[in-house]
Amino acid sequence: MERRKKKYNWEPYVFIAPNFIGFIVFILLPVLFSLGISFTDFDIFKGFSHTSFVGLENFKTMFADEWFWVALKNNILYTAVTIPVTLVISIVLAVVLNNKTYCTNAIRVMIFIPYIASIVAISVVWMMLFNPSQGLINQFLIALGVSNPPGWLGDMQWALPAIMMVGIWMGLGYNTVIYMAGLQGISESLYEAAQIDGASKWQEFIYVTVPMLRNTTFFLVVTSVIASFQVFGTVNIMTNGGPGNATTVLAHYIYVSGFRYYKMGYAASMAWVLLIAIFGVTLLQWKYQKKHESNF
Amino acid sequence: MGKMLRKLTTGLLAGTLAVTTLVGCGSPNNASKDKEAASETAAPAEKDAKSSNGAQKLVVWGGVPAESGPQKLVDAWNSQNPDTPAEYVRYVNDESGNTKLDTGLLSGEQIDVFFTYSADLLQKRAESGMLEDLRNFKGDEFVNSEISGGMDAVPQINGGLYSMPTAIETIGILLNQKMLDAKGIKIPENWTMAQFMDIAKQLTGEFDGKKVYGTTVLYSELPLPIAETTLGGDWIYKSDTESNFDHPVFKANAMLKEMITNGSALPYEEVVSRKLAAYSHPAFLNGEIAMMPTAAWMLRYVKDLENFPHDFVTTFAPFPRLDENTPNPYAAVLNNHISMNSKSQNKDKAWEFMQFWVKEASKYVEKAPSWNKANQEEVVKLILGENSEKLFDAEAYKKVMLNPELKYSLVTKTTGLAQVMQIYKDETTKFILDATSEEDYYKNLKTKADAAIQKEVK
Amino acid sequence: MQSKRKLIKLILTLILMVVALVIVFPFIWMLVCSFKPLNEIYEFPPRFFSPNMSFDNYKEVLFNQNPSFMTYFKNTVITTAVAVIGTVFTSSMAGYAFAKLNFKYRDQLFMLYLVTMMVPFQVLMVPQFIQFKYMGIFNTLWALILPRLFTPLGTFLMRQFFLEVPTEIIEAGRVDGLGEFGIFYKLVLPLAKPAVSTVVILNFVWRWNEYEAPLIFLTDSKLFTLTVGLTSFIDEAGFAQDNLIMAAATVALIPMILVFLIGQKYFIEGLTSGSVKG
Repeated sequence: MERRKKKYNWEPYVFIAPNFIGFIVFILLPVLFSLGISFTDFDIFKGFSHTSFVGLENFKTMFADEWFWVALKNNILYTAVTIPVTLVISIVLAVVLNNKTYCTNAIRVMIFIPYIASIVAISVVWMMLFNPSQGLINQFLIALGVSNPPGWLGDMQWALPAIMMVGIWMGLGYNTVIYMAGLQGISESLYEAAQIDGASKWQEFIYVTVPMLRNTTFFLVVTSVIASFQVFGTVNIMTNGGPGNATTVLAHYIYVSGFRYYKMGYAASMAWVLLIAIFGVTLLQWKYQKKHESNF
Repeated sequence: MGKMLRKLTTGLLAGTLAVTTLVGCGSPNNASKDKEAASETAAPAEKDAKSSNGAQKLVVWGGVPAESGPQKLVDAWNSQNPDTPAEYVRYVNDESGNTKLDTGLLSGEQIDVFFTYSADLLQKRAESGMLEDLRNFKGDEFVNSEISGGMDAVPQINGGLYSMPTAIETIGILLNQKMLDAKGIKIPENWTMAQFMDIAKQLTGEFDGKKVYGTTVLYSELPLPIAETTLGGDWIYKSDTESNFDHPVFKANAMLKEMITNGSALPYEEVVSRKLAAYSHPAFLNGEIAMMPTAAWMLRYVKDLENFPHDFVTTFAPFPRLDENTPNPYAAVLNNHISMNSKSQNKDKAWEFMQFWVKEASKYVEKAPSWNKANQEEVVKLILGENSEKLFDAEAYKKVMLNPELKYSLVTKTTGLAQVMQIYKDETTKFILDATSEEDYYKNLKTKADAAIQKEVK
Repeated sequence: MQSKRKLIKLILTLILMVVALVIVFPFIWMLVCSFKPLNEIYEFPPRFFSPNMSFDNYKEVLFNQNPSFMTYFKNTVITTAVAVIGTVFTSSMAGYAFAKLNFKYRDQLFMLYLVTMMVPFQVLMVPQFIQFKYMGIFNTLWALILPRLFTPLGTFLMRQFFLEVPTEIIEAGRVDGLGEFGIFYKLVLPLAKPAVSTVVILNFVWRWNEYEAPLIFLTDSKLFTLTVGLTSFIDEAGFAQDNLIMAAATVALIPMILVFLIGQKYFIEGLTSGSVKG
C-alpha cells in the first residue's frame, strides 16, 4: 500500500465509475438481495408479500442438516485433493516445458484444451470414459491386469475421486501456463548463483524455483479455492450429487435446496456461510502472503 | 488490515440491514408490483397486452419439444383462430427450466397457458395463486364430460381445479419377444415378484453372442414402482404427517436388490454411468436387457430404428405384484397438466385453447390422450406407428397398456414430497450398493422421511 | 555433454508428448464419437474406427436444426465479443485506479470486489432474474452481456498487472502535465497489451462456454447460444443424442482453439509481465 500525500481529486472516481456502477447494479445488488433473503423463508412461489422474516432460523437448520455437513465435507475433500495435486503436477509440467523440451508450444496448447471446452461436452465425454463395463478407462485397467476395476460414477467410494480427476484434468493446462509465465519472471542469475554453490537440479527446484513462484502460487490458490467451492457443472451433469450423497457438494446442494425443494431463503443462507468461509480462507492467504512479500 | 476489516464489516452490516428492512416491508418496486398483481385479477390491466405489439396472442409454455407434436397442434389452432394465435415456448422440464417458468410467472412475463408435470409443483403453483381456478369457467363440468376418470381422477387442490390432464401415462414392462421365445417363456397373468425374479434369471445369459441381463430394476431413478402401483398416488404417505415406508409392499425393493446381487439385473454402476437410471431403452433396444420398465410415451424410441436399430418384436406385461394377494392396479396416471395463468390478460381465449388442446392432442402428440372421446384405434395407430407388427405385439399392448381395469394413481399429498423422494433415492442407492444393511435401509427410510415430512408440517 | 543434453531434452519431450496425449485423449474420443452413429458410441468393445462413420452428425447439427446452429453461433459471437470488449474497457480503467490512484476506501472497495467473486451463481439466479425482468432485458442478449461487462476477476487481473508498472512512469507523466487520463491512455495502457490479452482470452473462454445464464435468462430459442444449443439434443426424458452432442461440441470448440492459438503469445506474455503476481 502506497503512502503518499493525498489531495482531493475526482479522477479516480471517473476511472472506476463505469465498472463500479455496473458492479453495484449487476453484482452487489443481487448479492445483498440474497443476503436479505437468507434471513427469510422466501421462495418464488410465495412472492414477496407472503415472505416472512425468520431471523437466524435458516442458520440453525443448517447446523442440524446432515446433507449440509456431507456437502461441506465432500467440498473440503474436493478442495484439499484437487488443488495440491493440480499445483504439483502443473509446476513440474511447467518447469519441464520451460526450455527443456522441443515442441513446447504444441504441448502447451494440447494441455490447455480442457480449460477451454464447454463443461457439457466435457462431462458427456468423461461419462463415456468412466463407464464401468464399456468405458475405455476400465478397459485399460483390465488390460493392465486390474481384475476388479472401480465402478466410478456409480460407486460410493469412487464417484468423488472420479469428479476430482476431471477437476484436476480441467485445471492442469491453465495452471501450467500460469506457472510457465511465472517462471519467466525468475532471474537467471539466481540459478547461476545456485549452480556456483553446487546445488543439484532438485535443490534448484526446491530452493529457487518453488519459492520464487510464491506469488504465482498465491494467485492460483486464491482463485482455485474460490472455484473449487463453486464446483457445480461436472457434479450436476455427471452424478447429480449421487450415488447416495457421495458427490453432493455445496453449490449443488444450494441449487437443490433452492430449486428442487423451493427453499430459497435456506439456499441463500447456505451460500452466505459458504461465502464467509471462502472469504476467511482468502483473507488468511492474503495476510500470509503480505507477511512474506516483504522478504522479496 | 484490522482497521480495513472493521470498516468492511460495518459496511456489510449496514448494507445487510438496509436490504433486510427493504425485503421485510417489500422493496418499493416489488410491493407495488404485488399490489398491481392483486388488482389485476379483478380488472385486467394494460401492461403486457399492450407490449405484445397490440395484437392479441396466447403464449403457451410446455415441456414437450415443439417438433414432437405441440407445434402442429398450435398451427391447427392458429389456422382456426387467426385473431388470437398461440405461440408455443418449450421449456426443459428440469429444475432450471421450471425455475424459469416460475420466475416468469412471478415477474409478470406473458404466459397464458402452461404445462406442469409433477404433482408437488402443481400444488405449489396453485397455492401461490399462479393458477386460475378452472371452475370459474365450468372446468369441472368439462372434466366430468370429456376426461377419462372425470373429476375423481384429476388433482384438486384445496377444493379448486387448477389444471386439466392432457395425457394418460400408463406404465408397464417391455419385453424382448425373441429372447422370450428362445427360452420358451410365457409371462403368467398377474405375475408376482417371485415369478419376475425367476424369469429374469432365466433370461440372463448369452444371447446372439452378447451378455444379456434379465432386466433393470430402476425406473425414473427409483426402484421399479411395485409400491406405487399397489398403493396408488399417495404411496409414500401413511397419513398427512407420516411416511409409509414400513408398509410390507416395500419389501419388493429387497427383492429387486437381490436381482442385482445375483446378476440377473443390470449392475447399478452400469445403470448410473450410462444414465440408464431414468430410462433404460438404450440397453433394451440394444439387446442388453430382456425386460425394461416403461411409460407408454417411450415407445417412440422403439420406433426410432435409425438411432436404435433392432430386429425383435417388443411385447408388454404389467408390473409384477408383490404376491398373489397384493393386487397392483394403479398403473396409469393422468399427467401433462395444462393450466391457466391467473394473471392472463385473455382468459376466455386461453380457456378455449385449453379445451382445444385436450380434444385435439390425440391427433398430433404421440401420447395416449386424456380425452375420453378419442378414437382408440387411431390413438393406437399413432402411438405404435406404421409397420407396427414388426415392432410391437399390438394385442399385448392393448391388453396391458389399455387395460380397462387399470386404476388412476392420483397424488393428493405433497408435503415434503421432493425431499422424501430424494431420501428414497439416496437410501435405496446406498442399500443397493451395500453401504447399508437391509434392516438399516428400511429403518433409515422411515425415520428420515418422517422427519422430512414433519419439518414441513410445522 | 551437448549431445547428452539434447538426448535428455528429446526424452523429456517424448514423455511430455505422451502426457499431453493422455490429457487430450477425451477430445480425441469426442472427435471419434462425433462421426459415429448413436448405437455405436456405447458398443462393446469400443472401437476407434467403424465402417459406419460419416459426416451425418455434422450435417444434422449444422443444417437440420431449427433454429439453425449458425444462429446459435452468431448469438455466441455477439455476446462474447461485446462482453469481452466491454469488460476490457471497464476493468482496465478500474484496475488502474485500484492499483495506482489514491482515493477513499480504495482497498475496502477492492476487497468488496474480491468477496463478490466468491458468490456462487446459483444464489444470484433468482435476484438477477427479477432484476432483468424489471429492466426489460430478460430474454434478450443484453441479459448475457450487461452483467458481464463488469467482471470483478477482470478488474483483479488488471490491478495485479498495473501494480507492477513502475510508479516513476506515472510521476513523469504528471510532471509533463499529461493529466490522469492522458497518463492512462498514452503511457500505461500501451504497456498493458499482454494483460489485456490475458483478460481477453480468459473472458473469451468463460463467455463462450457460459451455460447457466443463457439457460435461465433466455426463453426464445432464436437467442440461444452454442452451449444451450448442445442441450437441444437432450429430449424431454433426459435422453441425450450423444453423437450429435459430440459433433456440436467439436464445432463449438474449434473457434476456442483458434483464439487460443492466435492469442497465446500475448496471453503468455501477459501472464509473464506480472499480471499474476500478487
